[in-house]
Amino acid sequence: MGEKGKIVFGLAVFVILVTYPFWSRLAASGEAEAARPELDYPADASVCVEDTPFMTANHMDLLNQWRDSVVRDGVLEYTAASGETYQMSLTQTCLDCHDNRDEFCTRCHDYANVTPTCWECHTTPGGGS
Amino acid sequence: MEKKSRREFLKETTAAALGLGATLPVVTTACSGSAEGHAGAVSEDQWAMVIDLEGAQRADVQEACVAACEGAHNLPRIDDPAEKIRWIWDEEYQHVFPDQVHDHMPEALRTAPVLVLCNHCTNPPCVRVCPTQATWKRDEDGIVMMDMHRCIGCRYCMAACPYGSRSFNWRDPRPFIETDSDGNFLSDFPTRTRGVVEKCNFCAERLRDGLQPACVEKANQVPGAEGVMAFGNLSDPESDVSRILRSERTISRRVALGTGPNVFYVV
Repeated sequence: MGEKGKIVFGLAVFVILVTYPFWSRLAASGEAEAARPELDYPADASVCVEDTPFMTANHMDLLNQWRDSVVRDGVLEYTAASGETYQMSLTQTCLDCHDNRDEFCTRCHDYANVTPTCWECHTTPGGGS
Repeated sequence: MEKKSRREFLKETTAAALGLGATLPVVTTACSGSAEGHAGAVSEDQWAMVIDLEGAQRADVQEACVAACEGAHNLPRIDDPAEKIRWIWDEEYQHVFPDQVHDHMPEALRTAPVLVLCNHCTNPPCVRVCPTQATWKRDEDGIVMMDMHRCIGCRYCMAACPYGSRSFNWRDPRPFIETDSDGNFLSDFPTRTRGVVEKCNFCAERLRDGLQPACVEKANQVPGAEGVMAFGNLSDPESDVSRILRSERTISRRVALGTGPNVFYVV
């Protein structure tokens, strides 16, 4: 029977370790969640190529679609849901309004913990890195 | 179910086979019709370049070409020959045209500098070997393009190209790219990243805007070198390149390999 204490102790340690993610989260729930980033939207452009909720959720897919369209198919113009046409260009079209990459793109990408590789090659208008 | 005799079974099978045979010509005609329709959509257009061998040996012309290309495409300047990134550069005559050189040729002619760049071949071996189709020949204008998004850096294309027209980014090129006083690159052209292969794109981004390639434009602006380089569409009989190819004696690099280079040299 001398082993009983050790077994119970070992089981207790095991259960505590396995459930650590759950109870640590419960303990921290009182604290505020990481604040959503304040994004610096362009002041002079009231509308993006599509509406804001769509762009927030799908801009990465839209950009991939633009990339394939321009590079592979040579199609340069995008017709938005509104009927407006835009040149499909990250540097020319997107960054023409969003001229604040650090306060817009990077701030939200840091919050979402994603690291897109766009800027390893693409530049801001005027050749800025 | 009624049991069929062997005779009936054979009769029905034969009839069915004949019926199928009769429809085959119709099916093949329909297929070939659509194939022709597709072939008709592929353009015959092919951009090509003609370089005056003698005129383009001038150092100032070559420097103008290289500088124009570097500025237009944000090329890094890396001195180590093993890591150099080159889109257009000069090479000795004996290396550019190895099958044109013989023992009795003067040294000066053998080592004369010749401008070389990607030949945008009609039958490009680099395209055949690319496992991701990161490099491909454009149907609409015959340019052999690179898609840096798809390049995985395997360098098969570099092994396949008999002209050494491709360069590999062994390191991040950005620290080696020329910038202006504000720290900005000279153009908006995307830089490349470590681990991709790059080469001349015949200035596809300038052609889209109706401009000539940067090297052609700048070389022809050098005083006394007007007309040293010509650029145009091979399928247009009135284009500059077609006119020169009709009237002058021209050569292209290593024709026997069957790659069909589209950069020509007036000798």
